[in-house]
Amino acid sequence: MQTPEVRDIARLERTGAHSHIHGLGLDEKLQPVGNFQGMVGQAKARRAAGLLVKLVQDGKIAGRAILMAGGPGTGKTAIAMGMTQELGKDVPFTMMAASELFSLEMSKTEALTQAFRRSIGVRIKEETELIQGEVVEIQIDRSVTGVAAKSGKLTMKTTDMETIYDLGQKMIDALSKEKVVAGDVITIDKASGRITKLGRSFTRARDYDATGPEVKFVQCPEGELQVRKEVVHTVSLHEIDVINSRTQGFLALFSGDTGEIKPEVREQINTKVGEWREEGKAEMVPGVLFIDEVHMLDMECFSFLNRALEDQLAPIVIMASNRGMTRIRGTKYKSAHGIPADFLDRLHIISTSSYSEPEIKEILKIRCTEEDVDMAPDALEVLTKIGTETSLRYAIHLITTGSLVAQKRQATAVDVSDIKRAYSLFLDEKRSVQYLREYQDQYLYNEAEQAPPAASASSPVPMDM
Amino acid sequence: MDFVKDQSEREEVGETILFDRQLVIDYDRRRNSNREALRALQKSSAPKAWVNLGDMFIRLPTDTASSMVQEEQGRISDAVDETRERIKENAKKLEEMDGLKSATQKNGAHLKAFDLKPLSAQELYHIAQSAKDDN
Repeated sequence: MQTPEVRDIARLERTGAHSHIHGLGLDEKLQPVGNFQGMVGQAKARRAAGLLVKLVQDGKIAGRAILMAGGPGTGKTAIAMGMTQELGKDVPFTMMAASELFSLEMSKTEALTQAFRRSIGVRIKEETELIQGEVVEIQIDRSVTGVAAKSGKLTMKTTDMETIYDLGQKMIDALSKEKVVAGDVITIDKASGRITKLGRSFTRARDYDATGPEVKFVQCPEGELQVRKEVVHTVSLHEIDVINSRTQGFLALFSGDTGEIKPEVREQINTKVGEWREEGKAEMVPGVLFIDEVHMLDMECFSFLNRALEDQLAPIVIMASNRGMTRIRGTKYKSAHGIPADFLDRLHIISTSSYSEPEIKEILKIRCTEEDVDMAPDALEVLTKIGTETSLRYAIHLITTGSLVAQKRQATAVDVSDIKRAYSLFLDEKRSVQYLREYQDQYLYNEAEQAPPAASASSPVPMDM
Repeated sequence: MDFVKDQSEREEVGETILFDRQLVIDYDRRRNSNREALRALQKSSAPKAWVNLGDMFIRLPTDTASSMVQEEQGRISDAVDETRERIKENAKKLEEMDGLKSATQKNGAHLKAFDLKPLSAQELYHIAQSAKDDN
């Protein structure tokens, strides 16, 4: 038996639970180093993960799927987090729990497609020619009648040069609209003529006695006046989808409320991106999609995944499951990890094993540092014992509660008595079950007398392993 | 000894970058004064204009002077592009030299994207619509 995890807050809890992970802890030859970057033990799994990271970086595998199998609390998510860190910020990494797919607003396949497309990046370069400098003087000549077009002169400078531009009606309007005055540092986009105010020059800081808080002072720019800015972005295919789905436009990116995107739109975007790639305007960055608790997917999703992985633009899909032989969701069939056999055949399987006692001790030590808790050596011994007998998660939770108990008696370090107190206050899973067995008749709707409950596939009660 | 060689190579590349940067500034200064000159020539109604060539003033027909300046503008603009390209290359080279030492920056791979052809932000939008217009 096993307590089901609370999935609603899974993401929140997990970022905290794995904040100590900084990588996979491998050396240059992809050999795992004992205790490095927050990783302890699971040497085989880490090496396998490191190999995959290397392949992703070399662009060798795309459209492959990996399954991480192992009992609860054996570091599946930790390894996934480590892989994210190794891949770096530039590679799109989407993390989701399988149950997120079951939303009323969107069909499962749409949600999966979006997750897929979120994990594929397109690297593009933007290039703009700008005139960038400090305004020395603006001179506008108005005709007496006020009918004829205005003309004027704009003097701009950098620390290296100074020049005069003749202004036409349009630029004069733009300048007065932006309220540009002498002493402002501005950029003018050469292609569109758009003016952006960067701030006021430091040398003009004393021009006025009173300035509003919104006035920003900047240095006078260096170098040439006419500069070229090159910016490289990595956008995901999903983002391109959203800004091109006509109904909401790019604002949907911020609200997150994208709704369903028409397949035709996606089709067109794929074609366009393909064109860009051929013209040397864009570069594909296949990323990683991590699906946690993959046994929560049903037949429909698996068959969709089967097909979607064959697509040319498919990311690497990493799945994690803590189930053994169990029913495939929504069916009566039992299969390993709750994944249909044909799909299982496609996967590279990495398994994680339980931690040994010294490893648990190391992990607890790392967590203590991460949570800024001072732990006495004998308390750590006790906690390790608890960790081996109950679960690693429970032991990690006792660090925080134990430190709170210690704080209450105004001690700086957590000692054995604090751990004991926390241990007696909070039940672990086994003791909680024990407690229920003893006092079940006092609870409502008690069913324990009956034979094991007929587990329907969607019920949240513990499934048999 | 390897270190010294390494360092001197790096220094050389770095020095070239700084030199080229200054070169772009000089080109731009020239470009801007040429632009001012073109304006002035355009506005003047005189048939001939005084042109300063090196350390000599020569009186030339306005048209000739203006086409000469224009020609130079084209040359400068090409030279600026060329210099910028060289700066980029050298910056990449320098990054590669440093990158070999840190595993996180895979040999300047993150700079590779700068070799892409530029794409305007506008092109990212309206893909769906523009495709429809084509049909």
